[in-house]
Amino acid sequence: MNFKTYCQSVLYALFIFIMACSADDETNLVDLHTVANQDIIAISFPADTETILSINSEYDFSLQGLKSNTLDTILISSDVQWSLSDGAISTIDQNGHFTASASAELITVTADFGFYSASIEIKISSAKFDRVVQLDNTPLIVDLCRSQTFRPIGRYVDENNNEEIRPVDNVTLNTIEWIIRDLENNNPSQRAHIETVDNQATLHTLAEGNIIVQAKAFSPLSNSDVTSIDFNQAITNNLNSLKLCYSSASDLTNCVVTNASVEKDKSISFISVANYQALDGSNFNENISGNSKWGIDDTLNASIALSADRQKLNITGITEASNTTISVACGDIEQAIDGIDISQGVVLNTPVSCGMGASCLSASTTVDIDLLSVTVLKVSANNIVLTSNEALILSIRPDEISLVTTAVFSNNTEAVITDDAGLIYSITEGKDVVIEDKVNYLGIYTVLSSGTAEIKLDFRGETFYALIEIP
Amino acid sequence: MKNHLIFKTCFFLSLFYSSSAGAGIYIALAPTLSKIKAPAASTHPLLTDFRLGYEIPQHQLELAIMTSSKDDQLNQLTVDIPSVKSVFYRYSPYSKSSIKTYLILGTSQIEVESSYPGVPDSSDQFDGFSYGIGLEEAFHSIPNFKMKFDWISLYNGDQITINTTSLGLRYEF
Repeated sequence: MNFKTYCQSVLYALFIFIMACSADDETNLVDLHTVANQDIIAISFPADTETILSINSEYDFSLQGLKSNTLDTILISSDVQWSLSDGAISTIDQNGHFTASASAELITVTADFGFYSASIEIKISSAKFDRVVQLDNTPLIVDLCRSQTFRPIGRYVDENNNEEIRPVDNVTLNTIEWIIRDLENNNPSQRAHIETVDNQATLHTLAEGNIIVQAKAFSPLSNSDVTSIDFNQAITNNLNSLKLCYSSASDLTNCVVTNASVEKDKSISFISVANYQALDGSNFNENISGNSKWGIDDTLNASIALSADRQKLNITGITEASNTTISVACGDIEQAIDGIDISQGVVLNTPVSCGMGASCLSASTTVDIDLLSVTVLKVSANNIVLTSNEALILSIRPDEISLVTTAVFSNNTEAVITDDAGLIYSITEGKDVVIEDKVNYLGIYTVLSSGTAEIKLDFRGETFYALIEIP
Repeated sequence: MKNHLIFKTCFFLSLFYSSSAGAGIYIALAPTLSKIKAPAASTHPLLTDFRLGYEIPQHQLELAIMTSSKDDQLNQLTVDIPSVKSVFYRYSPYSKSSIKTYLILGTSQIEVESSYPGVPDSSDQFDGFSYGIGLEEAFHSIPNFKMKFDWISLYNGDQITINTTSLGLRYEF
């Protein structure tokens, strides 16, 4: 066989093989990897999935999966294919975000995950919202200084006067004005507030007691604002203890704040950690910073503010070499908070404290405001800029060496510190032979003879060696 | 498909019995790590790669048979490759260096078995065009023995890709 024939044979063989190839069905192996990757052996819609949705409303469907241990159920967050039944006017994207049509329809929502598939019948209803009739499907049980999400239940009425009692749709939910009063005196309550974020209502509590909650919302049915009946809600107290921790703490059980300090113009962050007793008798810890009441004893030395997500308190140093006490409380404090918008958190410019016998726990710690640290020392000798440990070689012997020192601080500011009492000068080479201190003049040296002079400068932990060759 | 393979094997073996100056038969053996890549995850069964080949300068034609050494698991999914049957053409450009590089072209038939709780065990077969690159260097003391390293894309489908990485020995008779 010559080479040409050989090559032809090879190409022919490859051609035969390639032609023999067929389009392979990859679906099975793709699906197996998809479900195995999340260790899922069954899927379903969560039990609280809404099956009646208002026209023009939006809803986020989710899919849950049973793990292979047959015990744990998780929400499946990726690789889900969402679809609607043929003819549906409503739409759904591949994140499960559903937009209801402008007219009533019955549809099927299908979620495919690997080779698993789950479907649910959904009614898009044109029934009009009347009012909120219930705070949640189940009674809310909430302790002071905690947050509890809930889904209000609304009454809807269709054109045939049929009533639907179902979770309030997102469009309506986002427009509800929540009114909260104390049960005993009907005054606006500072014990709790309700926040609606991302189509989710959350009850935040600040103190123990009984409150009345009302939901006020526009009713397309009556074409007017409608306020619900009073919903009585108790805020219980199963708080065991309260403490402060650094916001970086991951172990809430053992975290503590010790020797807290912050430099001027810099911040540290604390969280308030509460220990509660659960209904089953067990104890648990929780960051309750957003529902705590914070205080500071000296606003000249430091300032405090809750972070935007109200998950921590930021303390910023103002006055160097001072200190301040940060206090936190959960419950009824002695200080008045009547004029405060509690939905933004309670931060007072005075210490917070619990009165005798009050339903309240508190904690506090002292924070030292440290001197600014120094990042760099800049030194010049007789107006010539020096580099630490690099010799400045003079061509003419001066009568004096005059050092000027500038500190660059951690907040990026600079200051001349030549005469600062904290700057320590010491002649480490050539003392009393090449140069000597000029009495009563900091940073100025009298030249005695030729040679090498080295002056060490120390300031707040930063060291500079001024090395000068004198002719 | 079986008839195809018989034909392919006979065609290949018939090439061995053709005479050519400087030609020779070789065998190769290599442990091989495979990678089955799906959009959501990958699995990596281990294989043993045996090859029988015929060589003329710069050109090699070889039959590769790979068998399972160890299956791989992704949580509860067990994936194994019981067999891979391939025909490869290898081209090695002339080089003065002791390390030779080569290109690999060919075709492969890959069988993949998988099992997962609650679903019947399954077997899938993938046929496809294969390509790859490799390096090899002869032992100074035994020039007929060469150490070789291969990376081959056995199958490149719409959603699934299967490739192998192997480090082994080749012996020229």
